[in-house]
Amino acid sequence: MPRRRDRFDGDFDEVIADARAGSARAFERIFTTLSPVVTGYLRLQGAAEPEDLTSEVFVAVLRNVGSFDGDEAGFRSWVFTIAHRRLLDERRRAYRKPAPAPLSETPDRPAPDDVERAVENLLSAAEVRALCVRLSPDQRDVLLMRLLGRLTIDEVAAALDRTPGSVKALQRRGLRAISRMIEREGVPL
Amino acid sequence: MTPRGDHEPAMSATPLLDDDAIEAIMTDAAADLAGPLVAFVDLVQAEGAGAPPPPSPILARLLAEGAAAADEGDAAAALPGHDAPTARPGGAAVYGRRDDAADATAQPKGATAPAPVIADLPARLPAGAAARGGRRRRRNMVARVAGAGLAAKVALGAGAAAAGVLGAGVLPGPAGRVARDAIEAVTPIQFPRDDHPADDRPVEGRGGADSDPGSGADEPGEHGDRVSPDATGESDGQPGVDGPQVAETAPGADERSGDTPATTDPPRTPSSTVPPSAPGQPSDPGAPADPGPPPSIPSTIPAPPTTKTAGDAPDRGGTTQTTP
Repeated sequence: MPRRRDRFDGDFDEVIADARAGSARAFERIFTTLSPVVTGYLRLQGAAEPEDLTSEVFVAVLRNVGSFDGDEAGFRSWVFTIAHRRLLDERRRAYRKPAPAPLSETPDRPAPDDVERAVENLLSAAEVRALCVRLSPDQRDVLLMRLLGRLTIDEVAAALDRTPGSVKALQRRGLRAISRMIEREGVPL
Repeated sequence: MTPRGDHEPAMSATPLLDDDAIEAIMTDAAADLAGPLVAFVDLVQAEGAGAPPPPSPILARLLAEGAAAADEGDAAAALPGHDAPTARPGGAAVYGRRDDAADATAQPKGATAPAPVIADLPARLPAGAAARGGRRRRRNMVARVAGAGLAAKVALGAGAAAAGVLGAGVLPGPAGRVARDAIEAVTPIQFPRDDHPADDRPVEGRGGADSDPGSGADEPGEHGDRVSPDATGESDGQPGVDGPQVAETAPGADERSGDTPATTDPPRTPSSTVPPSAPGQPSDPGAPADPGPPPSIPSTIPAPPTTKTAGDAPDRGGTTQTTP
């Protein structure tokens, strides 16, 4: 069953109208609904301080929500576009690319021949982050926007200033790269 | 044609994903399928399923006060250098600098210092602006000299060298004045005018113990400005000074004997026929103090000798030489 893209339980129009009017409750609703996925996006992108960056994103969102005009999908796309731009700003400030997670931080994995234990274990969050960091930046942008922001191909293409065809290609290559890393390195699933 | 890098899956256990399979994975439609990618997608989505992060103080104020705090933030964001993101109908944002005045006050990690207020600029100027202005002026001067022609550079260098020589006091007074006038004529350099320049200032003992430093009598550049009483006859009733006599104000008075009028030996040149021990000569230790009129000097010089007194003024009482 496809997951539901509606995160506001059908109340988006009301919430956004209240937010335009300056309602603190609407502000809080927007923040509590979207901030976890924005934080997850920034964390998997390798942001140094994802929570601080999330606050910056929502300060900008709430201050300018009066200028937004669109539906929920457009609002999510707008929020993720701001988050992505903030991430780029942070990287420019740091003058470096996100460093791959050191091997010491990855948990111990079972031996490849221990099939039972491998089956029982799932990828931990640290392993997922390590896999994401090893993707190319373009592939990572596309996959995380699609999975966490639940954006369509066209929305991702608009957010990243790309064509839908290039977004599709990046998505396919990113998933294949993940598959290869999991197979070659014996990541238990 | 297979895209570059897409050959590996043919040898891999991972099935080649088509667009439908990928879309099913991305939208959870393939949840019933077991596979590494589905697990990966689930774990990625779990990263965004946590609790909201703690808001920053600025965001907390926004969440508590709503648009009232946002309006204040907008007013602060209207300051120069603060571009607010603008929403487009498609959802994409046109973004500029992310700095907000309120962000600066919160000082999050990695935040820069608040933007300086324009009113504070005058107070900040003396600290660094003066030094920057000096450096800028020096750079402009260097650039101006570098862009000048060869002749101008040569003239500037000569002027600087001459000014250095004069400033160091290498040249004596009259030569220094000549050089100074020449430099002032051909260059914009102006030397300070001083009645007693450093190089002309009398040095203690220079004119002898009896010399008056303030009289200027010993200053070579003021020869003839004063007439000695001996020359006018006010001192002894006889105008003029005898050749062998040396005025007391002449240099080297302290080296001469007090009672015997000191004289300066004439230069002993091979052509000189004056016997060193001739009577009445200054070199004669037994010569009287006032020998009177100069004796006729037995000389082989056929022509009348030209009497030349060292120094132009008779009061100098300088060395009297008889030269051919």
